[in-house]
Amino acid sequence: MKRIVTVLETETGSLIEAELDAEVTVDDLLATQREWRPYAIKAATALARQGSMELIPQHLHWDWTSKASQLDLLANSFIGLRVGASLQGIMKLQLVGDFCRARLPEQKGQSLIYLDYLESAPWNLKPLMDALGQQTRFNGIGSRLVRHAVEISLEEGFGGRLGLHSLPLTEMFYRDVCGMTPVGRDPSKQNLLWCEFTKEQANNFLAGARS
Amino acid sequence: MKTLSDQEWLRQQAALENNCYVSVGGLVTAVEELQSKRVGSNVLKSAFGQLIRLFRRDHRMTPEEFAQDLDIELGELIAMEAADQLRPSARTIHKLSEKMKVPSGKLFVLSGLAEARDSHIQDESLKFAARSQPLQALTPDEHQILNEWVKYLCEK
Repeated sequence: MKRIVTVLETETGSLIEAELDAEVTVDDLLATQREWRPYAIKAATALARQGSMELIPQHLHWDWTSKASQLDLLANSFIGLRVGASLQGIMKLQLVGDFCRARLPEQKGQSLIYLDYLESAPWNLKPLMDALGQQTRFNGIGSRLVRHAVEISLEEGFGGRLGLHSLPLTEMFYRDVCGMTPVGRDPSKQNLLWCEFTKEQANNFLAGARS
Repeated sequence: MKTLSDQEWLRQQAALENNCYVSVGGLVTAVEELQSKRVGSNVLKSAFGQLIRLFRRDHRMTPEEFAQDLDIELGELIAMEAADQLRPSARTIHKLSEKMKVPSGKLFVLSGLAEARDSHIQDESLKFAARSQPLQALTPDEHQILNEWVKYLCEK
């Protein structure tokens, strides 16, 4: 399944056509990581030289090429956001599983979509590109992917409910930019912060309503 | 509630998202993987240090003599034998490879300068590091050196 959306090009401020592709293959994923990783390492090195170790996200260590044996299991459920042939972001959703139950008291136990993985290309992350003295290529990749996850939640009858485990460096994005509720630390997942969208919050996010 | 058009929505979100990191997921596995790599890397380094020490002793050389023979810094040799986190230089690995007649690629992996392509070398390194720990009693010289070192450490 493919869907046409837009992303914002930083240099021109123009909206550029992009494609949400639910058929990301193993080869796509490996090629993407080979392309992304040198950027990420370069940016991490620059941040370390500038003494900004706290700004180096742990995901920079993530190397898909070393996890090739797991890709068969993972590949089917990946969704990529492409501009032309180049992937600008990837995410993976779970519709069933241990984490697909809401935890907020007002919707506890109800089904939700679990955002298992989301990553933007390093050249779209401003803190990294600032370290390299360069401009990002596209803005809003994370929001575009989260929006698509919410839309799938609506299509699947989950009312827009969405859950995820956020790392400290990404809490601001999911809490303040997306408007999700930080529910609490999850000891079963390295004490990461469990964040959740209610139906209402998901609708507010889609509408662009700011509280 | 006013609903923004998709374009308005994207521009608003992009401005808000601008300074944020957005990644989730794989991160957790990456952290776990890093931790397991760290454990694995310690095993390899320990085997690397033990390999050098035993080779040196087998050739009846003191650390000073061995460092001189290899034309490397004594401190670097001591760090390698002690499985220190300090990484040896590529030049040192090549010198060791020539001296010990061991493929440099394997030494690069053991020293932490290169990643192992499979877990086999890690398993074998673990066995080697465990089995090569001496069990025999210290020689009188070793006993004296140990006592002097402990005595020095106990001095105020």
